[in-house]
Amino acid sequence: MIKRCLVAENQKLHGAAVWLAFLIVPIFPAVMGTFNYQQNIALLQSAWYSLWTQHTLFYATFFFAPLVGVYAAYLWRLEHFGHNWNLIMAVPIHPIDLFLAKFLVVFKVTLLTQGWVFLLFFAAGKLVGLPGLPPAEIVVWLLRGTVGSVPVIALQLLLSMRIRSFAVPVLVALGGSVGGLLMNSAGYGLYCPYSLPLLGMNANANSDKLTGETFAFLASVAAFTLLFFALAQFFLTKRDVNAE
Amino acid sequence: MHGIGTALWAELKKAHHRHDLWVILASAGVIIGWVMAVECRHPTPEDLASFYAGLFYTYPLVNSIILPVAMAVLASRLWDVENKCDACKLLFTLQSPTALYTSKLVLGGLEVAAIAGLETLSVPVLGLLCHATQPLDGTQLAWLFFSAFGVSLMLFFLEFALSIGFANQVPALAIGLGGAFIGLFSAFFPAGLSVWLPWSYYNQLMTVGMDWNPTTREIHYYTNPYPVWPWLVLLVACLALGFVGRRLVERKEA
Repeated sequence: MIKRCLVAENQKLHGAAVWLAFLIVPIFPAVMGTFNYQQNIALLQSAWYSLWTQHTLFYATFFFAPLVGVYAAYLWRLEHFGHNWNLIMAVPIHPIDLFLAKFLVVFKVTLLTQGWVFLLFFAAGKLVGLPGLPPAEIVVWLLRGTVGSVPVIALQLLLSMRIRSFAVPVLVALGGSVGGLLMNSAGYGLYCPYSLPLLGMNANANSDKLTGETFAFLASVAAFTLLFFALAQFFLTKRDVNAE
Repeated sequence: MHGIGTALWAELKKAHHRHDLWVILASAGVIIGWVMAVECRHPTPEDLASFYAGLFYTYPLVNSIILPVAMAVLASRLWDVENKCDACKLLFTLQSPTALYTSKLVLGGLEVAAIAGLETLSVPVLGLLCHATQPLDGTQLAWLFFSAFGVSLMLFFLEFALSIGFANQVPALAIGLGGAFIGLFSAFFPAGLSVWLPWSYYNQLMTVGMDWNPTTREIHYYTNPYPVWPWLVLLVACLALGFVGRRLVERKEA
């Protein structure tokens, strides 16, 4: 059943407007981050690492979660139209399969987004004349940020499933990002789902902020993801009477 | 006018069912909470002596990140409710497109004013909570309200036109997110470029500047003259975007 759901969810992305957000939004932090790097080149002396701090400063902090929020909201949008919820509840699939399929598709798009961010980072580095290739550590940080995004994807899907508005979950993601930033500055980043991509991507830091805390990071990712999946399962099975 | 009054009453009822109040409170809450976390955490006597200047500097910066997205959300919700049920055809048998559009704009304007008002109200409240020693400048406070309201209203008009033009709402939200980036960095743009970027006006209307001394790590705030010409741009932009939006609604009828 999950296979059929995946095919259906992937079909929704064919020619979808969500690719516009995918293409455009990461360009802004790349351009602004590179500009900021060039303006402060006297202070930023760690080559690729310094450029990374400027690229991720605002991307990971404020705009990554809302972008994931747009992806998640887009996949639930169709379900909120007309009487589609009645149809979903009547089809012979386990409701959590539908949620899991949407999760896997949003994860795929998020992974592609991170790839696009890396391409922009690499191109910007070459444009400003940085030597060689970016350190492998940065690729690890980018992938770790994608792992950190897993609970954010689950939470945004949960919010978009419950809130029948395309835009509100995106605003929640932005508010959550601000909260995640504040929690992270206070040293409680591992206790806030919106802080996890920021910690994973090692945003605005030259040295690894998660040294010795990788297990705690992964445990936090797993705990939040399980919580949001459990809530999704609860709402889809116990609260389906809310369907129109 | 009777048609617009009835339409506005209907929009208020829709807003009540959409829980718009929560969106207003959440938007203002994120802004105020963030500023509070930055300005009110362990302030020194020196910080308290320039407390309000700090707020008048920080609020427009935070506005430039949060409000473009908040405006996209408000505009998208106002129009998307009609998209969901493909309600335009039915609505236009009961009210004119102009009445529908104008009533939504008026409601949106009231919601924008509510966010700007809550933000402005938070300034003296934060001053009292943190025991600020600097006297509060009433003109600066009024300026904060009008600049937050004026720029946000223009962005609301822009996002509303996008929400009407693109049924799927992704462009409105994506442009809101991109605009937040542009607004944030617009302080570094040349004036000739900034004038064309609607999201840069939070910065352009700022009247408090800051000098940071990296050796002493001290912050010195200073005031700039109140700029007049951006208001003219805001007025022209609102009129133009309002006209575009109305044309888009009228075309929905065809």
